[in-house]
Amino acid sequence: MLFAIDTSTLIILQKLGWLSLCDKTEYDIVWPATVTQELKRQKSRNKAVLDLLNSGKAKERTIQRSREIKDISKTDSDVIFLAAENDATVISEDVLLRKKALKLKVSAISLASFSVLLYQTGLSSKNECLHRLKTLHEKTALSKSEYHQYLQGLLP
Amino acid sequence: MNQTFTLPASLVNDIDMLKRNWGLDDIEATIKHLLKLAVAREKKIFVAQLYQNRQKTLRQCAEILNVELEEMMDILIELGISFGQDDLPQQLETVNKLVKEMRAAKGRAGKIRATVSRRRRRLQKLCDRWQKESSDATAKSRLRFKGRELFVLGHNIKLN
Repeated sequence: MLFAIDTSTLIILQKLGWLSLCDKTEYDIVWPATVTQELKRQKSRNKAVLDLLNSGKAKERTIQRSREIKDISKTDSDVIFLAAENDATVISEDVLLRKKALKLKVSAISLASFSVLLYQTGLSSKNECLHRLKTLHEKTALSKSEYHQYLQGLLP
Repeated sequence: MNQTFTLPASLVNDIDMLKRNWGLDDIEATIKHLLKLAVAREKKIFVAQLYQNRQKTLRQCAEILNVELEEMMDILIELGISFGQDDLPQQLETVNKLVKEMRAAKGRAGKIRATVSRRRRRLQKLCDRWQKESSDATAKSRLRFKGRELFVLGHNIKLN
């Protein structure tokens, strides 16, 4: 299972001190040690995403990149194309980016959904998941109603 | 650019108060400073609204304001604008799909592990029986079963 993460979401992960969240080899997310350095150096170039995907093990398939994704920048559309090529899921906090990904039949989730996914696959505890959702809510990434919807989804 | 306009007296009084407070020389410099601050603030609000209305991505907003992505996020947080989850149903659908895929993959890996250990156990039994029944002392001493490798008379067979 591979994930492509856009730079802004990487920055959020870094800000929240959650870079280790992706440090799970079982998940095929190989997080290179250089990511944090790359983030500092190449923040605007999505280099971290390229590194992340290049270190994955998925079979790369070639897709036509000639089609442009309207209304979003090249770096943002690169994330979607990289995910498509690697059969990966986009993790992004950007709603517009997720919507564009879905239009190209590339699945996309937010950090909150990713936290729920980690819990549901047994890679993190319920408490950890609740703590992450609460933090995202406090940092305005989740509105009150969205936060409650996620909590309801966690009920047995 | 030259533009002439008339300001109400109350506003002029307020500007004068700010001029003294900021230690500026004249009213023109104070108005310029005020305009600069107001335009910067209003531009931030305008761009944040573009993000909120899903017209621009975070990166595009950062480019318009000429700030780093990190600063753009801080601006949104400062203005109390949620990143938003309008696509929550689709996201949860994706999560369910990924959970199913993950469980299926785990199940497959479990089956492969079980088959390998079953074969290893069978091979170990054969080795034990052969060692017990064999009368060839040299061959016996040269047969070892270590970890995933079986050494038979100088040849080693890797078990996968």
